[in-house]
Amino acid sequence: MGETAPDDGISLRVFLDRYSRILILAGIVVFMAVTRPDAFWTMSNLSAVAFQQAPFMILMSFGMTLAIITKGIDKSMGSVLVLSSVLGAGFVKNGQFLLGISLALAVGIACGLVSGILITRVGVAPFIATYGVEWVALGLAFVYTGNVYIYDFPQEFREIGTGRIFGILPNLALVTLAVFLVLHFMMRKTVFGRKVYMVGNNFNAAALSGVDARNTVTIVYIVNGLLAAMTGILYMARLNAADPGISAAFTLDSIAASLIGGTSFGGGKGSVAGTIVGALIIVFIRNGMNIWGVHTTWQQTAVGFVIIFSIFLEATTQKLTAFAAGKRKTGE
Amino acid sequence: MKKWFPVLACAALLAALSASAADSRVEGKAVTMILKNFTNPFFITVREGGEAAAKEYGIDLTVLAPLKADNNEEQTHMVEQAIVSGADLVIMCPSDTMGIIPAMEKLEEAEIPVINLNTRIGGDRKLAKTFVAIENFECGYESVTRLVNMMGGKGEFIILEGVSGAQTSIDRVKGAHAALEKFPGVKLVAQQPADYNRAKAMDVTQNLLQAHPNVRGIYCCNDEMALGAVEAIAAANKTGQIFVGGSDGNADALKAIRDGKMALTCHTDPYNQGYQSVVAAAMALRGEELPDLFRVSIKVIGKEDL
Repeated sequence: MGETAPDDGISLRVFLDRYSRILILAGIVVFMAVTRPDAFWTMSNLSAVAFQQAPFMILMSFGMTLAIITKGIDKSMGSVLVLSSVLGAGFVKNGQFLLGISLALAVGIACGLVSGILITRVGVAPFIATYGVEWVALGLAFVYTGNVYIYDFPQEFREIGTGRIFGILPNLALVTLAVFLVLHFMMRKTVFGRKVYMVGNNFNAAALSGVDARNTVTIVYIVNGLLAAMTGILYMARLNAADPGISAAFTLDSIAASLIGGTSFGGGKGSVAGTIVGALIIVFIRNGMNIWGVHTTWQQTAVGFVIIFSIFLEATTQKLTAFAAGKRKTGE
Repeated sequence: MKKWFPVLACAALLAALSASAADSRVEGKAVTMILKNFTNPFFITVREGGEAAAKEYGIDLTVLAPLKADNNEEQTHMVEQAIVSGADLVIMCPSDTMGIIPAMEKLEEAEIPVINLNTRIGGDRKLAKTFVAIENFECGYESVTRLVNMMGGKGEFIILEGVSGAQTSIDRVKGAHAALEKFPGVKLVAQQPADYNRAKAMDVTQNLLQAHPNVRGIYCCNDEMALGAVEAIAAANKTGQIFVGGSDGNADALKAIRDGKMALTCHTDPYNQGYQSVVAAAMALRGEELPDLFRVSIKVIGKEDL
């Protein structure tokens, strides 16, 4: 995905790499559509999943994917989402939407900047730096709210997350699509995107070859903070509450979506397009199991199996590559 | 909310209260209260009740809860910390009925008495002086009975459970089932856990409504999940068509009931639960005999009760 490879002997690898996840997703959708056409294969169900449930996980997973591509991880995203949304919530409830949203985004950026500085200037490992920020952000959120929920926002605000442009296109889906296009373009077509992959492949080599590696990584974490804050605002509009209890689920889901979407913890490999597929797989598994009436506790197990399968796939494609390369060398 | 408390559970408590609010044997004693979390308004109110009683008795009360909601590991550490810092008594509201037992055994070893609050400590041995709680079975039974009556005694029904394995949820669900048995016209079409969590309940309800579009009633084991269900119902443009029942009686839920979005809640009187647990603690510190159960009464609240 991030790299180019010779043409011969690798078609199976490319196929597995590019399309295996889409096949899993298609398999889930087809299975559900055949077995429960009444409840699953309906406009209202598909649009509820795709336009109301999936966008939040997709937005968060975009950020996680970028962090993992730089060979890092952002444990703090869920907590940053909570902190930015509770800080913005007070103003939003009073009708000062612009102020509330700006404050939330600023908080997200600030948290990302702190993580970025800790990682690149202080030299703390990404897991530990963002783990620290996770605790601080969630702690501040609790201190600020005084443990009182902020509930029931003005209808005009809720329209941001639940409304539709021209009465047809859901805002949430449009925002997600816009963010996807920006990030996809950034990672594929810009110098910055190339730098992110280079830094992930080998931080020191990238730095030695003149890439401002530290700034690149810092910017990635700032983007994550921004995405977390954005998700928080939209989620507040959907849930009609600023809920400090949702942080952990969001972080873990987004790591799962990135992994299932083909992002490698080895760094330097992955794509935001793959992440969308990863997130959709998780959301459709949950939706399907709810419709089938399977106990929700099984969903965790099912998602776990898909994660393991994805990692297995990852390892297999690497072996295939090595095998193909070996064959070429020996002239077979 | 204040009009229901203090609803005192039994006469013995009344006597205890009036007799010796300022008792030198209790004054200045250090009591640690460990709750499940500070993210659910329910436990914030428990804390307020506990703090009010502690002030009356002159007890030095510390209230703690895990940062990661409902985390047994953190609760265990808090117990260990209470032992080290020399607490005279621990009021325990365990997230994990069985998981907390080793920590309770440590308290027993250190000869620090325990008052069990809200959720029962598991195991066969009696590790606490007394259990301060509501009857969760009754709560589920009364709520569902009233909810089904609102539905006209018939229609499809869904139950949202709390965290898997939580005793409060298990007992409320048992009560709900017992109530449903009285109504042959009601069909329980789905029962799923949504972890006492608003966001999760919203997604689960949204998905379940796809499979069961004709649902007429949803009973949720707490108000947070009920409020999530309310938002899912609003997203499906079905507000007013489905009767949603919660449990706890928190402020958001009462507002939703007033607005006609929620049908009812069961006021489990968190303030009084917290208050009574400290009263029981004071009695224990004075060396008085305690009954096995301090029962805090419940009340089902619909729109006409507000």
